Amino acid sequence: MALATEKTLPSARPLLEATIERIGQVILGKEPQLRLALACLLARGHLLIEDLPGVGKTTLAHALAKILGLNFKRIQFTSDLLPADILGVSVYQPETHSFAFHPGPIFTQLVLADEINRATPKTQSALLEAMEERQVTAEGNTLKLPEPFFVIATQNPHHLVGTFPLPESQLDRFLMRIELGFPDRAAERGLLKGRDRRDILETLAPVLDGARLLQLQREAARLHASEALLDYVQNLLAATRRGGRFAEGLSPRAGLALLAGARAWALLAGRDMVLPEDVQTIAPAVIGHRLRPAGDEAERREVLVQRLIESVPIP
Amino acid sequence: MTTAVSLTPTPAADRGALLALEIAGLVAVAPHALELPFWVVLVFAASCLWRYVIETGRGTRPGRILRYTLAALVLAAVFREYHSLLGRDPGLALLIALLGLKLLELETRRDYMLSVFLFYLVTLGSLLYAQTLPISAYALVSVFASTAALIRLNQPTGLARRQTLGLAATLLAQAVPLMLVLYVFFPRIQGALWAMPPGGGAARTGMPESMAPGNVRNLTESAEIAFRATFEDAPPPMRDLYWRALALYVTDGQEWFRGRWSRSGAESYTALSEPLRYEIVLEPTFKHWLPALDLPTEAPRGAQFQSGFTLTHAEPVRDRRRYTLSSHTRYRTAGPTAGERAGALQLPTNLSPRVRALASEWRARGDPAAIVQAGLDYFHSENFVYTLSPPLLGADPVDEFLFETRRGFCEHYAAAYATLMRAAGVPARVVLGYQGGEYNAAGNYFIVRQYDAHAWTDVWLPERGWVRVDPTAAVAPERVELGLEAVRRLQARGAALGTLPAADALRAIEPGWAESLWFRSQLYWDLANITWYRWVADFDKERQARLFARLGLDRLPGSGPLIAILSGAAGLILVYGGLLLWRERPRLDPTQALYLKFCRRLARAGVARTPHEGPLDFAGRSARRRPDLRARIDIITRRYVRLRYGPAPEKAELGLFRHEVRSFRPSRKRA
Repeated sequence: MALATEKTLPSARPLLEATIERIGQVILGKEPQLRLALACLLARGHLLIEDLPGVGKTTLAHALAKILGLNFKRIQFTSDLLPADILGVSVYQPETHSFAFHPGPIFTQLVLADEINRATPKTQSALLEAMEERQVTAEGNTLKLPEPFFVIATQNPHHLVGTFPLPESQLDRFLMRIELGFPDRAAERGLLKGRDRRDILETLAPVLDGARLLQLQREAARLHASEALLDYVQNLLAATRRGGRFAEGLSPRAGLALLAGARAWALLAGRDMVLPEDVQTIAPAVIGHRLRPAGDEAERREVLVQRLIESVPIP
Repeated sequence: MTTAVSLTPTPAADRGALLALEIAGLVAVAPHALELPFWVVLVFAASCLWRYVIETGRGTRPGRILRYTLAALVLAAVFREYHSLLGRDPGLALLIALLGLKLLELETRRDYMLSVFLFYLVTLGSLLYAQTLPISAYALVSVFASTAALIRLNQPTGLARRQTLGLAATLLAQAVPLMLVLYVFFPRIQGALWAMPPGGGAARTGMPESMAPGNVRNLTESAEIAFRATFEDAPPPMRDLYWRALALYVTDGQEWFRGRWSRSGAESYTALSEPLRYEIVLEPTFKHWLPALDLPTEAPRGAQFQSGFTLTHAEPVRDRRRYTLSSHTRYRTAGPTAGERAGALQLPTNLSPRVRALASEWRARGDPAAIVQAGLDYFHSENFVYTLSPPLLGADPVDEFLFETRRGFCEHYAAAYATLMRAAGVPARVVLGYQGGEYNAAGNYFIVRQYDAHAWTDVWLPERGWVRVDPTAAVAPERVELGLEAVRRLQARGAALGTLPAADALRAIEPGWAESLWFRSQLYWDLANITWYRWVADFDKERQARLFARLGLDRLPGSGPLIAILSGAAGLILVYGGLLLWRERPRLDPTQALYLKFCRRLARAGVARTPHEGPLDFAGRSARRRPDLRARIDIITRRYVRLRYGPAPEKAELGLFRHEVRSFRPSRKRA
């Protein structure tokens, strides 16, 4: 932000800035996406990264886990992946004549669900349910997932063969969806010239830990959102529900997501209040995947959201 | 969008909509059964039934040829009925019958809506006949039904039946204030609409314009109300209630006519009693005459005197007329002009010798008063009978009646008496009118019915002028004292007229309690109707003008009160609408208002904020465009953001912000 208008939180700002800076060393030239990803995490949401293979999705997840001091597991989704492969499995113990639950890879603070659209819908929904409820029910026992719990799912664009694109209702489970895109020339040169990313990841020192992150999440959720700002959020929601521009209007859940995202973004910016700009900034990532244009307009979602924002005056 | 919707067919499965429509239609059409030929209503009802059967899938839609044939048949039938397709009755008949046929081809939503709107028109049509209390009340019910149908059509699935009816009732209730305002202030259309010719001949019972044996008697079968009269003070006794309608001078021996002595202007007379002021509400007669109590002093507006102290109106009375008169029941009139006197002595050329002989016997007495009395005595003593069913008379009814049948109704007596008087040299004329009336104590007025029609005579006596002489009273005083209805009852009981003392006669016709209850309720019902008429239906142009005058609106210049009222009403509506908008206006809090002022000033300085631009974005952009203002913009924006979006801003902040914004006056020049 150009202005130093904000009362800065004493500890959050430098920590978060340091985090961004540190990840920026690994993922070159992608600061806006990094900030969004971090905001998504602070808003206790899950992130969907949709892009081609090889643009650094996995590296981003890895780097986030490292720097935030979270334990990390990666699940590679394939068409033969079963729900049990994610959630865990009960195994018979001949010694005790009983079943013991072996937790699956989801019992991790940061899960990378790689190429989620390669798995069958059944497996996808097992993951998505766990994401939503933050717990796993197996053999009648309910097991809490660790805190913080953050899923980064990656998805290949739909036109690739052999995928099960996530249905609209499931997309809603992700607070944000971002695209990384190709790096610009300078960033790519840095990538080519620099060390192997894996080596850098190895040496990366954490800035935060789980407890600190939880505290930041709570701070974000408490951030002040004034009546005027809520008016603005509601106006945005209302604008999607009328006028026939979109197939369906935004759900109340989308409204909550918008507000949570904006709060996290304001926290990242070091402010103690949410501004309309925060909403506008995170809106493409938060509602882009929740809106479907009416008719067969083949417009990019980001453009749609931008137009929506431009059509709604700030009250 | 809406046009697309309106063209889509109503779902065939929506039988409820059709039912609602048909009910509304039947309700609207039903009252017309009283006025229009029955087959018209039947066509409508049958079409409703047919359409419903089609809807249930058990019938087939009529093809185009059948529909056109039916329409042509309807046209032909209406024409056959009225010999015309124009006018009120044929128009309504056509509208209703064709509307019924229209139901058969209901297809689109538009058809349904159109039908409902035409039902409103049909409802309006029922008021073309009369605007009485029951008809008006029924029209309200009909409007309610149509409105409910309209709501049903617009809510294919939405509302429960009770909600639909409730909404319709609410809508009507909400329309009441507007209705009242329009009723009072909307310019009254006089004549043009209501005087619509009924189409075809209007055969109505009512006072004939001439008198022949039997034609007054025909009226006695009709209990239709002729008029109502309300006296301002105590009403005169029954025997003085002679309501003059026509004075007849010319006779051909059979029939009596008005003759050519009619002249304008009141004849003068000297009043011998206090004036009685009263108001008459006359039912449509389609004739010119206006009834007035013996003898009226001056003609009401639009009417003039004819000879014989009778009043005629310039136009035939096509709808209820209300007028105020004053009369004196005791009077002495001036003498007739020579022409009138000659007319009042005219005799049929073929006067029978027997009549001539009787008259000349009386003439010999010389004194006209004695002659008049002799005539009355003759009727009284010679075994004459007053009867409602007199025998038919032949070529010389007066002779036949006087010397053979001696059974007659009032017109027989009046005609015979006037003929005798003339033959005896006393000027005489026959007066047609009404006598008596039913007193409605609840409303303090008299109801005069067609069966109160009466004929009597005026004779001219030198020292007293025209004197009313009722030969019927000499035979049957009950007719005059108690009224025709009493006579009918007495005769039904076999009592001889003219023999019983009045008190006994009254006792003889005392109604039973049930009957008297019925009479009383009838009177109250009549009172309700006439009150409705006087206060609501008869609010005409004249009364409106009077109301405006009372409100002081008549002194307004220009086209007068109408324009003033209409512009006043328009103004009121505008103010009301403005008030609503004002109440619904987006409330700007002071912070926002000040910020917008700041934005306007920046816009004048060359940086306009787009409505969706956040404060920080705008501050950044404007600072880049006007670096010279950066510091001020920063301060103001920071303050604004804290006030508008921050947690619990301090009160003092707003004052500072106001000061900062007001002192922010950027120059137009670019730095």
